[in-house]
Amino acid sequence: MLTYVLQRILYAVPIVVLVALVTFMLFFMVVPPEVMARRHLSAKNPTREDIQNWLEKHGYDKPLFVNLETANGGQTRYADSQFVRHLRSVFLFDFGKSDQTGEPVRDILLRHMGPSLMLMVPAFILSLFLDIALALLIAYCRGTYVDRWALVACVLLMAVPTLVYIIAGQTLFSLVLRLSPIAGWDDGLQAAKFLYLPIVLAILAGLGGSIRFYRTVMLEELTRDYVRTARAKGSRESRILFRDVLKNAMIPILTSAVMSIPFLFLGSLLLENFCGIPGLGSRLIDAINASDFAVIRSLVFLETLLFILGLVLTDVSYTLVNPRVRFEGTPLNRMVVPVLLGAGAVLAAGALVRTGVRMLHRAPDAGHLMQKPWILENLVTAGVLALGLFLLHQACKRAYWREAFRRVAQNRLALVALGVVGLYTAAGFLDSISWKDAATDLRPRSLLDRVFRRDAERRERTYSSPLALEEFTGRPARPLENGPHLLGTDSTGEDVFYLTLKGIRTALMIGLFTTLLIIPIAAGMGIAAGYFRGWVDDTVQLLATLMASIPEILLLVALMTVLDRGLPQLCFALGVTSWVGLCRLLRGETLKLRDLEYVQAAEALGITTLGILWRHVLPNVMHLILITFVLRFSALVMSEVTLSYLGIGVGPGTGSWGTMIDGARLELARDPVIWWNLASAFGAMFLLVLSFNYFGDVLRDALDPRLRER
Amino acid sequence: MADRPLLEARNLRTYFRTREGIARAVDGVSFTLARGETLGLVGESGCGKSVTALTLMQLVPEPAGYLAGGEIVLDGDNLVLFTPRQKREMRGKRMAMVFQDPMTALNPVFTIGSQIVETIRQHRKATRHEARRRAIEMLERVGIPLPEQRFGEYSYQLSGGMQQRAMIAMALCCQPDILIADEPTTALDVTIQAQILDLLRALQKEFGMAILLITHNLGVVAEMAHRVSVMYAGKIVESAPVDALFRQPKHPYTIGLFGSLPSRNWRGRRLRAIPGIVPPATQFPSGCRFCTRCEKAMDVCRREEPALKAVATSHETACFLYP
Ligand SMILES: Nc1ncnc2c1ncn2[C@@H]1O[C@H](COP(=O)(O)OP(=O)(O)O)[C@@H](O)[C@H]1O
Ligand code: SF4
Ligand SMILES: [Mg+2]
Repeated sequence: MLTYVLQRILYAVPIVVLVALVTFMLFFMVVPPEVMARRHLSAKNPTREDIQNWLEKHGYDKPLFVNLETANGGQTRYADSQFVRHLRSVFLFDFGKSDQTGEPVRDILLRHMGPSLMLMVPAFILSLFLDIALALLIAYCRGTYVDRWALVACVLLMAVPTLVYIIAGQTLFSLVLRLSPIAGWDDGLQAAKFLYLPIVLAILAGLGGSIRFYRTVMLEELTRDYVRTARAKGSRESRILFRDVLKNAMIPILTSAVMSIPFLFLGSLLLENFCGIPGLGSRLIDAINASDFAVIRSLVFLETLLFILGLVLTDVSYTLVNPRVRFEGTPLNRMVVPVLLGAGAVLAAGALVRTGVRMLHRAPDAGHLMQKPWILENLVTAGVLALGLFLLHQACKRAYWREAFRRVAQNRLALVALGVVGLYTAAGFLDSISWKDAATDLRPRSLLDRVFRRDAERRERTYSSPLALEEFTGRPARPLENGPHLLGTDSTGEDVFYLTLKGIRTALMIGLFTTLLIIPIAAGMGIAAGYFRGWVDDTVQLLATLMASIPEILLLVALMTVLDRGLPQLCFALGVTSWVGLCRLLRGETLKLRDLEYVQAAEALGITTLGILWRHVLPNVMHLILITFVLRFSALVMSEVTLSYLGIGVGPGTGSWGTMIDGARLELARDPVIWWNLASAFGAMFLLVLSFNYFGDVLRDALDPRLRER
Repeated sequence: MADRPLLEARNLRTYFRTREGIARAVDGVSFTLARGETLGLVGESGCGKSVTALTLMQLVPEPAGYLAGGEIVLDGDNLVLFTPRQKREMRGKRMAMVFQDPMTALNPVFTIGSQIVETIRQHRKATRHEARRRAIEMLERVGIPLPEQRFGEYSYQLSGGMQQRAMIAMALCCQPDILIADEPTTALDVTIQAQILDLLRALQKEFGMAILLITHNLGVVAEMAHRVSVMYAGKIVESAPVDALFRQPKHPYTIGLFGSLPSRNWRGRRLRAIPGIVPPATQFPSGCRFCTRCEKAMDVCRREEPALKAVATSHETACFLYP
């Protein structure tokens, strides 16, 4: 057992080294230091000197890797570089000083960890018990209406973003029912009264997803042969579920639970921020707002370290529930090449992005072009449409896909969901074709703008409620200038329905472009790993593990603070954080495919490797790609809300539901309550997410060959 | 009531609801099983043998599968009419089952011993200690060396043959009247197969239980069974004492299974492939279900369904060739 644990830890070392490299790449290489300095000092309108001072103070004036300059003493100190400093700081756990306040980061971490743990540990334990208990209950009632409705409830719960839970919960419990204080903090046990609500909210926010996952695990276990054996020997149905199945199901359940332990330290960004809990999550938000790179950097590294520790813990706990211990890992000597290649890949990616960012900053014209990309945008829109139609055409030629479509078409509700998605797509499409027709136009106006509002600058003075004819807050009420507004107007008098429609395009773009970005990376790496195996596989696996060990939200935050907000950046960041799942899936599938006869026959016929991959492997994994895309889509749309709230989502001026929800949350406290902003954005998103999820589930059932039999 | 059979299946029909329609996996199967007797049930894969076994155990996966008709009379009681609780008490105590793949049939996260103890305590009033003693005794009976030590081991720590022995120990620990063995040796090495069969025979002599042996290996049937029923597409097409069947197979399907020429040495001989495959249970042909593959098919075969008829003493077959 001890050797096992030691072995696991030894395996974590290369990952930790690579994580140090990744944080270095992110925070030192990707964005040139001047840009960072300017961003950080932006509030104070910096002079050249300020910037120089800032660089020196934070060590950014040193060369990246090797210091070739001769110091005053005449000797060269090669090691006095940013890279070496960074390594030293992370491996000695001395994270330097906050860029914002100058306080040592270590002190900050220690001080804010307590409140986070006070919130997250009870929430974690309670929700684990609650989720397992409820999932068992639902699994016990499988096949009855209890099960069906519980599943529907889970899906509905899952389609609500955390932010909405918090806003709704606070409004209901604190403002309406006055059951708990809305926010605040106190030292020691006094804090408890502020913790009830956030703990309940934390449990609620994770409820749907966990129960659904646990239920699936249990139902899958229930189909195993040993269950039949247990029945054949006369065991009670309840005993089978609570003893035989539960112990088996605990393996994946504990795995996923243990994996989330490291995140307890980080707390919950949104919950802490809303409820005034001074935990690490709140502190991270402060750091984001202040572009405090040092704090974010330290958190990324530390959390990743904790996560890797969590992995080791998982494996160890695995051996406790599952008697069948087998260490599955590449022999250490085979790790050398992958580690070197991985490090090279990380640095190369950093250098590439750095060059890109440099070029954009050097050539303001290019940046300008990016600001007004409407011609490009129209072209891209047309291209995506053509690609979609082409793929659909190709798919219709294959019996497999036709059969799948037939199956989907049998499900009425799935068709409704598809119809909803179609309507959204149409709206997004209308909003993507834009042009300028008059010199007076400040920016190109899309078809949607033209259909919906002929006059670009028409808006009311201030709020009007849905369908009202008069302003909502003006005293005395004045009739609206531009007629009734279906969903009312917001604080600036902008029509909410229009804003909601504008949000569609952003949501779809995030889903679509992120996917377009992921697929080549994930498919390329996953298929290559599965097909060539050997060191290619080892390297891909290592990179995947590396990416998987950096907490997603932190990586997103880091990427967005470093790259600055904006839609392309957001898609890029979401792409970087979400290719791993698909990559692993495709690797596994390719491993299976390459041993099939027709692939081997193609090999024997001397067809080139590329030809085999393109014609025999890729078409056979297309369904996995599609399923992943559809099921991933809603998660992408929902993460936009969180990021927009954190101030690192799409830039200002791009309409999005996240921005709307963020802007609307303060208005709930007004009297009378301004609820329609929030409700419209949330409703629009809810409908889309729900449709996508439902359609995705049906599609998966139709496409998955394992489910197809019978 | 001396010659009342221990188990009598009457006109069993087990159907499955599938997307392609109703699958008539078992469609009118009748047979009897006497005390201490071994009945072989043979047929190609997909004929409905396993479903027949599950039906007997009342373990057809619901709600997709359901009993569309028939009776299972065990020692005078109709199992079909049992309450769920009575069915549960029957399983493992009066009728037990051994499955094809011991690897998956044993629960991976419990020790072999605890799974046997659980079975014993399910049906007998026994203290933990007594149950443990009995379990170890059973492990010893089925020929597992070092039973005390194996008791605390997990299934993956045992070889396939040992796993199957443990399965048998678990099935027999409450001394059931009937043991249903669904291809008990198919997943095992050839050398081990013979050992397991020998074990089953020895245990039958010792405990006196009846065995329903499901297999597609004719050698196994020749060696083990007293009587044989041949199944095709959800129906029994021929039923005879083992010698009669091997000497004079009547039904074209049985003949097809044996190959064209009868041979004296059946031992170890596998089923010969018959051209074509068993049609899926949702689309059996009308008339005789074998007519799509039968070399001797006549017009009447496509119109009407042949019933089981005696062609000799205790030798029945369902074919229009034997009026
Ligand atoms: N759970 C099920 N759902 C639908 N059809 C089933 C199910 N189990 C078995 N069948 C069908 O019943 C028929 C007989 O299967 P089975 O008894 O397993 O055959 P055998 O054991 O003789 O090889 C097959 O055609 C199979 O498709
Ligand atoms: S009834 Fe006809 S088709 Fe069926 S087995 Fe006999 S001869 Fe062949
Ligand atoms: Mg079978």
